[in-house]
Amino acid sequence: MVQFIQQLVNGLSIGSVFALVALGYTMVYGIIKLINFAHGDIYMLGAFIGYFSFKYIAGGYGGFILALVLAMGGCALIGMLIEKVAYKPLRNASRITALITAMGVSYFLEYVMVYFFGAERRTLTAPFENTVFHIGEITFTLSTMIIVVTTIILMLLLTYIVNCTKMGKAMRAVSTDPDAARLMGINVDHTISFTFALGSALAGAAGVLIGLHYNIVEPLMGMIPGLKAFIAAVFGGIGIIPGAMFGGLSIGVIQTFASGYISSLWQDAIVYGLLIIILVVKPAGLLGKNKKEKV
Amino acid sequence: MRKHMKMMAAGCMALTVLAGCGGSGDDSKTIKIGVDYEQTGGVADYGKAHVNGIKLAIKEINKKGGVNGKKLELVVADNKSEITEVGTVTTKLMTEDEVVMVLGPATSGNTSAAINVANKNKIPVISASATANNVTENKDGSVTKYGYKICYSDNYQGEALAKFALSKDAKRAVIVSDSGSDYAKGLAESFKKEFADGSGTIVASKSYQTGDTDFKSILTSLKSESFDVMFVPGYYQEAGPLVKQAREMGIDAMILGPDGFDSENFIKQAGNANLNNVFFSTHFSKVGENQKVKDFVKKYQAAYDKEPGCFEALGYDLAYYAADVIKRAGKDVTPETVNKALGDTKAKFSGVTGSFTMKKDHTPDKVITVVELKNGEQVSAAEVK
Repeated sequence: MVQFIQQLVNGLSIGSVFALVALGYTMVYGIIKLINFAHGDIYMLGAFIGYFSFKYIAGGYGGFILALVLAMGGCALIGMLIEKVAYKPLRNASRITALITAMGVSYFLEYVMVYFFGAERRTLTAPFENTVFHIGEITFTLSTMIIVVTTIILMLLLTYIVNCTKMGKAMRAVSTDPDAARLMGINVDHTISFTFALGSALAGAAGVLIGLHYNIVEPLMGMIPGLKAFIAAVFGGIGIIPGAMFGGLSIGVIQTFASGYISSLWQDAIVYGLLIIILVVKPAGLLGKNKKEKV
Repeated sequence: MRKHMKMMAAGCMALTVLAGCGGSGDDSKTIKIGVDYEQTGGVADYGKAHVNGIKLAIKEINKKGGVNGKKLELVVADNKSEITEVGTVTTKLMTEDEVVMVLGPATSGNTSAAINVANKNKIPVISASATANNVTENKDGSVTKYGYKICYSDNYQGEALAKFALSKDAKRAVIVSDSGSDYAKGLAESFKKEFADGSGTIVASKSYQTGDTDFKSILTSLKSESFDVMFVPGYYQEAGPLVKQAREMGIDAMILGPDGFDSENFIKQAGNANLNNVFFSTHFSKVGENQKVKDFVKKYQAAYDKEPGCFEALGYDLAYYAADVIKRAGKDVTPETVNKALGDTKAKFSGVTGSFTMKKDHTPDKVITVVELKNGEQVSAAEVK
């Protein structure tokens, strides 16, 4: 039982990160029907911003908040820039063109980073000591708690923005019907830009959190988590915000259990296998409905 | 020619005479040695460390007048830690740069790839750290003609580590190994066998994938077992975070690792506070009173302004060994005469990583050192035979 709960804790902490990244995939898909494969690399950039912030600006708890703000701000800008440069000109092109462009952007970001910083793993200077807490026989590290708490705060914030602000309303409107939204006086370009900024900021935050958790950053670190987060988004129902949260947490937990109870060599096979089953049984994803209300 | 005749006196007569009819490379003033290392990519730490050691040694050798009156010239290439790149780079060194031998690469997989190229081009390759068991063997088990190494093999390393664990009264062991490398598999197997033969029990075996950063689920499932030692055959990239996560999770048992742990980054990634009761086998330790080692450390620090680790030392020995081999090859230094000198099982070489003679299987006859870490510092070194 102790082991079960411990594995659940492990799974939820890694799942939170998947969820944060999955949110960006799902929002962008919801609004322009583009699978933004470069999203995992935005997460990597966030981790690098965190790395440099801890190393050259400040450590401590204040340093962590600063790194989070810098990474979110920086990634939001980069996300918007990528949208302007790479995706906007293709808005009316076929979907496959945009998809391939997204892959190109992904490789571009990865190898620009390899070129400037080298492909090797870098050790992140921990901004504060990663204290270990015990509840009975279950252990938590401070970084695990920070990941979960930060994720919850960011998700609440996102829910508020999407549901209770004017921009959120515009996002929902554009995702439902961009042409109708334009006719109603919504600036579609701004809204799409904002969506990219929001999604990228979340990925940036996830990058800082994961850097803090493992103390490792590397230019190709976004590939696998990016793919897993994409699966998480599909798993929960792509285009649906609660679906991404739920999908992320589920993938994290399933993967951890598979590796803990069966074998780490099976974890990916099990995760992808489950995805196939869910898509066969429920093509719209676990929380997906055949309704058009998407963001 | 006159100049070369004088040099003969210094060389080994018999070999020189035998090699006399070779002829190529005779006119140049330098002897070219290829250096084929992982200077970028996944195991760049190993490669760069070797290259630093090699460069230092070659500088010293050339300062003293080179070998047989000729200076040694390095042709350095980066194989990017990728096996396909190893093929390209080694071929280029051998066919375009006209080297008499190639030093490197660092990992066993890459070395095997380089040896394949070596056999095709009939130019020897010597690795200082390819510890896999069959690196110097052909597919049919025969000894490869142009591949050598100056480090011990994994089965020998795995056995020595098992003996070491038993000598520390460990009875129950768990193994967490990298599923993606032959290196880890070979080590795990030989450890298992020796440990079980010596009254120990393997309680559980788990594996992770190369490139993993999260080991918590594996460690959690091991935590419920009772064991005295955790053996982690793998490289520092994964071992660093693995040890960190194990200690944070409250696994205090002895952790034992192979020479793949031996990197500054292992210490950095695991964190000093988590590195207690951690042991690993190494090719080189600064702990102890060896004058040769002390001199090397001093010279290395003067040159690079940092402490050398085991791969710097292996690189340094490799370059001196290459010089020794070239000297024994005699006046006419060609890949063939060099290969002949390499295969000499009687020539004894003594360096900072120990003394050895080359065995018939192209691997050296060497002792293993196991070092202990306390708060991230090496505190003691034990020799295991």
